[in-house]
Formats: sequence, C-alpha cells, structure tokens
Amino acid sequence: MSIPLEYFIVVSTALFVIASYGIITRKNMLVIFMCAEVLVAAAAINFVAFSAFKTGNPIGQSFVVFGWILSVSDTIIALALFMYILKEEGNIDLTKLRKLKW
Amino acid sequence: MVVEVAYLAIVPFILSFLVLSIFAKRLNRFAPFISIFLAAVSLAILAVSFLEFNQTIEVKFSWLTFANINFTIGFLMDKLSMMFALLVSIISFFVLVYSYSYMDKKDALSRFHAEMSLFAGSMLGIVLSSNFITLLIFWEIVGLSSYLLIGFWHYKKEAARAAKKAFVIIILGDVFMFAGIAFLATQFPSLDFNYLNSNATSSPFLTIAMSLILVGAIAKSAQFPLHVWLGDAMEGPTPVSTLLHSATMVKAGIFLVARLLPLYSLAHLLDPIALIGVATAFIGATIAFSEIDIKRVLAFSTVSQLGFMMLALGASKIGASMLYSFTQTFSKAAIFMIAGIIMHSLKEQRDLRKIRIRPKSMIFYIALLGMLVMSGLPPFGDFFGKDTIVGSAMGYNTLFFVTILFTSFISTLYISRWIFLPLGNSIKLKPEGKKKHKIPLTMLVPTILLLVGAVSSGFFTPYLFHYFGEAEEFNMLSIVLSTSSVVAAILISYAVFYKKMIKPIVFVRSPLGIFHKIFVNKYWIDAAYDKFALGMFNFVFKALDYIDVFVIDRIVNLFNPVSEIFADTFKKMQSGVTQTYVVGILLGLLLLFAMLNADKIMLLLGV
Amino acid sequence: MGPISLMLALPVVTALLVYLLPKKASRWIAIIGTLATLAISASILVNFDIRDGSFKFIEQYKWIPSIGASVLFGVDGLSLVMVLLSTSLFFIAILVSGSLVHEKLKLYYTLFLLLETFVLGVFVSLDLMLFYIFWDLVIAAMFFLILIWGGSNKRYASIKFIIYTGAASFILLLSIIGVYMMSGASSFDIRQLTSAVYPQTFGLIAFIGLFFAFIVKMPIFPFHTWLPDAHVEAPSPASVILAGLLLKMGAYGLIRVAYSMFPNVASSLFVPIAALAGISIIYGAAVAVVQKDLKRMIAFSSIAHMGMVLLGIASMNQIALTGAIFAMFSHGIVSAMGFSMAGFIHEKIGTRIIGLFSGLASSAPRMGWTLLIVAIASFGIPTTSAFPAELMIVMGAFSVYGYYVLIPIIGILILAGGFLFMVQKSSFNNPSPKKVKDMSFVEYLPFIILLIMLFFFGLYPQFLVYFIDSYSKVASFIR
Repeated sequence: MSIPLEYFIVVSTALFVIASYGIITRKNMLVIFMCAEVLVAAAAINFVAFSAFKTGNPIGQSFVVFGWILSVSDTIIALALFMYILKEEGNIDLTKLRKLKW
Repeated sequence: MVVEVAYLAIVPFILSFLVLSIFAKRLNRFAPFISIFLAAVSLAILAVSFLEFNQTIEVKFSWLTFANINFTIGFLMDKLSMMFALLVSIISFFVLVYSYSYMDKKDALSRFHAEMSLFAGSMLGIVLSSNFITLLIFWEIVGLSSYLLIGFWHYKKEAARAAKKAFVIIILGDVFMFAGIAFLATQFPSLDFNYLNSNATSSPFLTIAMSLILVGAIAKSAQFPLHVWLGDAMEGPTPVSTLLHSATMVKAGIFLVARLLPLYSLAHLLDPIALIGVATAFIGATIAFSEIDIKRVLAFSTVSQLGFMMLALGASKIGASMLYSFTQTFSKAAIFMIAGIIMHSLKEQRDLRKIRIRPKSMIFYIALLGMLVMSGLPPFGDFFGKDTIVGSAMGYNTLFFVTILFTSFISTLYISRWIFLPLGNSIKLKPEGKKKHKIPLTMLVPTILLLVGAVSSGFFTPYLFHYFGEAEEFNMLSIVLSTSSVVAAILISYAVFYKKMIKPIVFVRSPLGIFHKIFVNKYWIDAAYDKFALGMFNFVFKALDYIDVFVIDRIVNLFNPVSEIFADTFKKMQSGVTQTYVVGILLGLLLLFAMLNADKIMLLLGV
Repeated sequence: MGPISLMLALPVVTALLVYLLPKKASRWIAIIGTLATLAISASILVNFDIRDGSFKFIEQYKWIPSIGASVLFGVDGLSLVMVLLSTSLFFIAILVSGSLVHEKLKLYYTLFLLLETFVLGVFVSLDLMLFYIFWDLVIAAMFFLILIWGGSNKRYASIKFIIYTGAASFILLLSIIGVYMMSGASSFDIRQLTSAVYPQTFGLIAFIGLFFAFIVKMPIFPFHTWLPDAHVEAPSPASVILAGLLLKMGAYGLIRVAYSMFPNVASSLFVPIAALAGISIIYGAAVAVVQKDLKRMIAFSSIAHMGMVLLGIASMNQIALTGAIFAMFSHGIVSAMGFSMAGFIHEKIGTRIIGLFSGLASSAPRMGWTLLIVAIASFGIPTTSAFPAELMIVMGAFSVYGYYVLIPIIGILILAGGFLFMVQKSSFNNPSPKKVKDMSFVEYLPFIILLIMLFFFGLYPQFLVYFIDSYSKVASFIR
C-alpha cells in the first residue's frame, strides 16, 4: 500500500469533526442533513481503510455498501419529512423549530 | 348444693338483658314481667345459697393462659360476698317491681329493663368476683350500664349531659384502675384477692398500684374529688337513682376497699382513705343541706354516707363500715322510693319549696318514718351504723371525730329539712283541691318492706359484727353525743323549716351566710372542672390539631415545591434546540471512548 | 398446589370472573369469592400444627434462581392470624360495598379482589423480594381505589398517599437489597436472612431504614399525615381495608423483618422507639378528640392504637408482643366497624360531620347503638377483644418501661372521653334529622358478624392467643 493507514484515519477524523461542527452550527436543516451524510461518508472511509489494510477480509467494504443503502433510504424519508415540515411551519430553520422542549 | 353455683345468679340477669335487647320492639309490653321474673329467679338462687352457706367456696374458669400468665374468671362465695350479693338481689328485685308503676308505659320499657338487668347482673359479678380480672370486667360493665341508665331519656339534654359527666369520671377511674391491676399482674402470679391479701408485702410499688386502683374506687363511690357526677345523675329515672346511686353501684368502691383492706394497710394508704372519707362526708352533707331539689338532697346525702363508710375503712373498722353499708342500703333505697312516690303524685315536681305533703296522709307517715330512720335516731338501723363509725373515729383521730360528729349533726339537719320543708309548704300554699292521689301497690309494698328492713336492721348489729369476726364496741360517750346531736338537729329543723320560727333567710343574710354561698355553689368544684379542666384540654387539643394540619403536614407538602424547583432547574436541559441534544450525544460518545480506552490515553499522556 | 397458593389464586380468579361476566353478577361473584377464600384460610387454621414455632404449609416455586429469589409461601402463628383477619375483613368489606359503592362496579370489584391477593401475598411471602413486590402492589391498588371512588378531595389524598408511602417503600427496597447483599446468603428467604449475621454499623443503618419504612405505614408520629386525608377521601370499604389491614402490614413488617433480623439494634433503641410510640398514642388521641369529621376522628384514633401496638413490639417480651399482635387483630375488627358505620352514616344522612346529626339511638337504633359499641371498644372495655390486647400490652410494657406506661394510659383515657363525646352528640340528644332511614337487616349483617367476632375474642381470648403464642414464644427477639 502506498498510502499509509494513518492518512486515511486522519482524513476520516477530519471529515467527522468538520461534519459535526456543521451539524452543531448550521441553521438550515438541509445543510445539517448533508453534514450528517458527510459523517456517514467519514465512517465509510474508516471502514474501507481498515478493511483494505487487513488482507483477506472484505467485511468492512461490505458494511459500507450496506450503509450506503440504508443511508439512501433514510435520506428519502428525511427529505419527505423536510417537505412536510416546510409546508407546516413555513421554514426549515432549526433554531425556530423548538417544539420538542419541556 | 346450690351455694356452690351461687354465681349463676348472674345468669338470669344477663339473660334478661340479652333477650330484651335483641327483641326489644316485640317484647316492650312484657319487659317488666320478664325482668321481674328473672330477678326473682336470681334472688331465689342467692337466698337458698345464703341459707346453705357455711364455708368459703371459690370457683374458677380459665380465661387467658400463656407464658407465665394465668388469668381466670373466678367467683368467691364468702361471708362478705354472700351478704352483699343477697342484698343486691333483694334491692334489685324490689326496685324492678317498683318501676313497674313508676315508669310510663310510653317509655322504652324493653331498653330500661334490659339495662337495669345488665346492671344488676354485673353488680352481682363485682360482689362475687374472686380476682381482679373478673372484678374489672364487671366493674366496667357496671359503669357502662350506669351511663346508659342515667341517660335513659337521652333526648333530654340535661339527662344526656349528666350521663356523659358520670361516664367520663367513671372511665377515668376505670382506666387508672386498669393500669393498677395490670401492674399488679406483672408482679404477682395470681390476682386472686385472697392470695394477694396474704402474700403481698409493703413496697413503693404496692402503694402506687393500690393508689391507682383506689382512684377507680373513688370515682365509682363518688368520693371527693370525684363526687361531682352523683348529683347530676339524678336526671335519670328514680328507680335508677334508687338502685344504682344509693344502694348498690356506689357501694362498689367501698366494697372493693373492704375486700382489699389488708392490701391497703400494707400500702400505707389507710390514712389517705380515712381523710378522703371524712372530707367527702363533710362536703356531701353541707351541700345536701343547701340543695332544693328533692333528689339532689338525697344524692349528696349518699355521697356523705359513703364518706362515712370510707372513713370507717380507713380506721380499719370493717365491721362498722359494713354495718352502716347494710343499714344504709335499706334506708336510702326506701327514702328514694318515697321521693319517687312524692314526685309521682305531684307530676314530677322536684323543688322542695314547692312540694306539699299533706299531714296525716299515708305519704306523710311513710316519709316521716323514713326521715326518722335515716336521721340516726335509736333504735333504728342507721343509728347503729352511724354511731359505730363515729365511735371508731373517736379512737382514730380527734379532728376526724369532731368533724364526723358535726357532719352527723348536719346529716340529720338536712334529712329533717327534707321533710319539714314540704310539710311546712302545705300550710302556706293553697290546697290543690284534687282527689287524693292513690299510691300504687307495686310502689307502696316495696317501700314499706324496705322501711321495715331499715327499721329493724339495727337488730342485726351483733350478728353482723360477729359475722365479720369483730368485737362490737360501743362507746358510751359517742352514743350520747350522737343521739343528742340527732335530737337537737331534728328540733332545730322543725323550728326553722316547719314552724318557720326563724326564717332561713336570716341565716343567709348574716355573716354566716358565706357558708351558704359555698354550699350552694358546691364549693365551686363543678365549675372548676367544667371551666378549667375541659377548657384547658380543649385548647391544648385544638392546638395540636392546628399543628398537625399547618405544621407537620406543611412540611410533608414541602415535598411539592422542592421537587418542583428540582424539576424546573433540570427541565431547562430540554431546550428544544435539537443541536444541544446533538452536542450532548457527541460529548457522551467522547466520554465513552475515553472510559473504554482510559489506559491507552494515560499512556499517551505519559502519566 | 397447596392451600396457600389456592388462597392467593382464588381472589384473582374471582376478579377475572367479575371482569368477564355482566355487571349485575359482580357483587355476588365477589361475595362468593371472598367467602371461599375465607373458608380456605379457616381450613388452614384448623389444620395448623402449633407444636413448634416454624412456618407451615410451605410452598416453594422457582422464580429467579440467579439472585436467589423464589416464590416462597408459608404461615406461622403471626401470619396465620393476619391471614385470618385479612380474609374476614375482605369478606366484610365486599358485603358493605354493596350498599356504599355505586359506580364502575365491575372495575371496583376487580380491583378490590386483586387487592385481596396482594394483601394476602404480603402476609404469606417468605421471600423478601416477593414480599416487597406484593407490598408495592398493595399501595398501587389502594391508590386507584382512592382516586376513582374517593370523596371530594380524592386527587390530593390519593397522590399524597402514593408518594408518601411509595417513598417509604423505596427506602424499604434499599434496605432489603442492603440486607441481601450483606447477609452473605444468596437467597431472599426470610428464614435465612433472619439467621444470618450482620456487621454492627450496617445493622444500625439497615434497621433504621426498615424501621422508617414500616413506621410510615403504621403510621407513627411524625410520619402519619398521609393517613387522615387518605382515610377521609377513600370509599368506606377501602378505608376498612386501609385501617384494618394496610396499617397492620407495617406492624407485621416491623416484627417479621426489622425486629427479627436486627434484635440487638432494636434492643438498644428501645427507649426512643417507645417514646415515639407514646407520643403517637397521646397525639393521636388528642387530635382525634377535636375532629369534626367522624372518619377523620377514627383515623387519628387508629394512629393512637397503632402506637399501642408499637409499644407492645418495642417492649420485646412475650406478653407484650402477644398483646400487640392481638391488638392488631382487634383493631382490625373495631376499625372495620367504625369506618363501615361512618360510611353508612354518610350514605343515609348525607354528612359525616359530628354535630350535624344526632339522636341516632332513637331515629336509627342500629346505627346509633353500633356507634356506641365502637366507642367503648375503642378504649378497651372488657368483653370486647380490645381489652385482653390492652391488658397484655400494658403488662408487657410495664416490665420494661415501668411507670412511664401511665403516659399511654392517659392517651387511652383521652380517646375514651373523646369518643364518648362523639357518641353523645351523634347517638343521643334530640334526633336531628328527625327521620333517618335505618339500616336494613341485610345491610346490618356485616356488623352482626363483626360484633360476634368482637365479643367472641373478647370473652374467649384464649382461642386467638393459642396461635399467637406459638409464634411469640419462639420469636427470635424475645428477651
């Protein structure tokens, strides 16, 4: 392998942190959702990297395929929900949607 | 032999009580007959037993046995109990016959006779009991029946109040007596009277236990300072006053002390007993002297007479005490019946200043005889009784002797006043112009029989003393003093109250009138109890209730605001901003990661 | 399946029948069910061998072997008496419910019957975990009974009840777990836990925890304030069970768990515990006397009577303990009578406020005279079962506490006076209202049963003492 394992870990961690920052800070629900997808991508990189470096065990890569499918399905549902929320509340600004409080 | 089961004489009375209680409505008309019949059965059992009696018999039934306790229900047939038992059943029988005419047909006859039977049966129980447990059981039932009977006309406010007062005082006595008995039970293997009398030893414990029991006796026998209920108890029907409050129930305390005299001697309580006796005698007589209600005079007279008996016991003269008890039973019961006859004929008029007795009528002769008997004139029964007590006081304590002699004088004063006032009224007030009132036979016969008993009871004196194994003592000095005081009192009374030679009002307005004020207000003891005791208790208890609701409960309810504050603080965590939750999740993840790899992190940091 | 599990199962089965069958039959099914349960308990009584003090009729079933909790039933002298009281009182309460409860009958009888199983469960469980579960179930069931069929302030009273007693039972749980872990035994079997040895300091903490939990239930001053409200608002049949049985559960727990497991700790605390008892008695009596609501008055008097029971337990000798257990039984009968009568008075006259009604002895003799009997039984008049109980407690307590026993005696006196004043106002004096519909014979039947019990055990206490003694003789904490 030409690229050492650590580089992959660093990249995925960096992606993870950036995406988390995005989730915490952004107001627009669509953007937050995209960051969540990035989170999933970061985790996927991690899985693939470890699987590639452990020869003879493709389980990590199969996981990623599974993960993508699941991720696609929850994207569909999430987007549908966002449409509904947009219709009901008029916006998808997370700071303004506070119903799940005490 | 019937005497072996003499205690079964209780059963007819209990049977009468049960039958008349359960089938009250249906048997209302027959109630008098049922109770009189069963009373006669009881009397028969006791009469035969008395005649057969020649040695003490004790019968026991196991009641509660475990650990080192062996409580039994026991009956003792000895000289004292047989005499008292026979007396109780005779008087009960007579009173029940008397009440046949006295009680209105509209009254709840079933209930009346049921309660009277309950009383008579339990009184017999007290008298025949051989140990404290049996005594206590019947003792409290007697108190209960007294309460029910005083308040028989319970829709009358005065009667209900009087019954309540009586029961409260009697319960007070009962509860203390219960405590004393329970204490004794822990120290002695047996609560039999005979056992205790022979085996007890002097000790502070004994004094305390016996004092507690004495409180019960004081309450029941209306001794000072627990005498205040007897006057009010006159609100009950006259047969009740006759049976319970002159002849039998009030004697229960005297009986108890007599039974336990050796114990009281060991407990060094004889002097206090004598003191209570003489104080009661004096207070009772003086109050009786200023009462204007025909029955209340007699009630306080009973208080006074019981004081006499208590004094004699305190002086260890059981013979004298029992003698007076014996003679007084007849005379007092007779007098009450006479009072009942008078009241009955005058539609329940009770004020002595308004009652008229016509001279030369049957009532007049009977009443006069009753008065003479009770005044202690020889050779009637009460003379012997009172005199032996006065005589015994002479040898015991000079102050007591003087007081009791003076009390004896006052006793005669009040009882002669009792008859002279109404007699005097018939001169002043206009005659009624009605037909002469006919005294029913069922009221007349018992009265006369009792009078005969009262008159002749004196002749039993030597027999009675012998019965108790005491030598009769007749002190010439005290006899002379007594008799002369009696005669003097009768003459003074005659002059003042009948002939009105000196108007009583003169006495009241004179400096001596202060005594009159004291007597009329009953030494303000009643008022003290009512205002002080009740008022204070009421205040304290209401305060406690207030504390309960507003202090203790409030503390409990603090739980509410406290948990609210707690919740309020922490609920802020649920801000509704989703991202806060996300942060929380991430932090948690971080923490988990750190915890799981704590060792590696430590290594990394070079710790 | 042994008699005890049969006895526990029967009310549940009856409850099921009540729930499934039409409303009209509910009352009768319940009556027959509780009567059958009573019969089973009577048969246990008849076959009870008192020769030694151990548990009889033991049944054990596997439950949670990994922590040593099993379904374990058994009775000894103490629990037998409690079981008998329970089955009798439930039967009486069901009889009385017929006249006093009018809505949601199916649900009511179902709940009530389940409550019977739970109460019985508390008394026959020999597994501490099982004991605790039944204990909590009782609280839950009673909560619903008060909440749904209660009086005007039922929300407050029921919530206070469940939170207060629930908090106490939480402490109970902690104590039980603590005992389990420190006992070294790997089972919740009460017999094993009782004979285990515990470290000193732990013993003190555990005892205080257990003591507190049971004290709240009894209830003892100052943890009694849930009782008056609960009693006043609960429907009368529930009050009967509350006063007659739930309070006794507290005393039972005290004897069975706290005192049996930590006798030395209890012995060292015998003075403060007795002081608490004495205060309870006087306080309960004093406050009872000035109450205006009849039910509240009887509720406070229950506090006083349970104070007497505590005094008997705290004395830790055979006579006092027998007296305390006897008193538990007797008070069950008396309070059943009192609360049922209060319920009927409310039903027939419309109020329970003393002074707003009077002269019952004339207008409604059955009610008026029974009220009198309740009053005199409350202070232990001889011929009632209260008398032997009080006598034994006073005797036993005197051996330990000497003349201080006079203080509770004064409490009894206050109670007597107070009840007398109440009876005076209610039964005697002029009747007002003038016309009151008296109880019919059918309605009065439960009272006849209670009266028979009251006087039977008063005149022949030996019968009950026979069983109680088999326990108190060998109770592990007797001095």
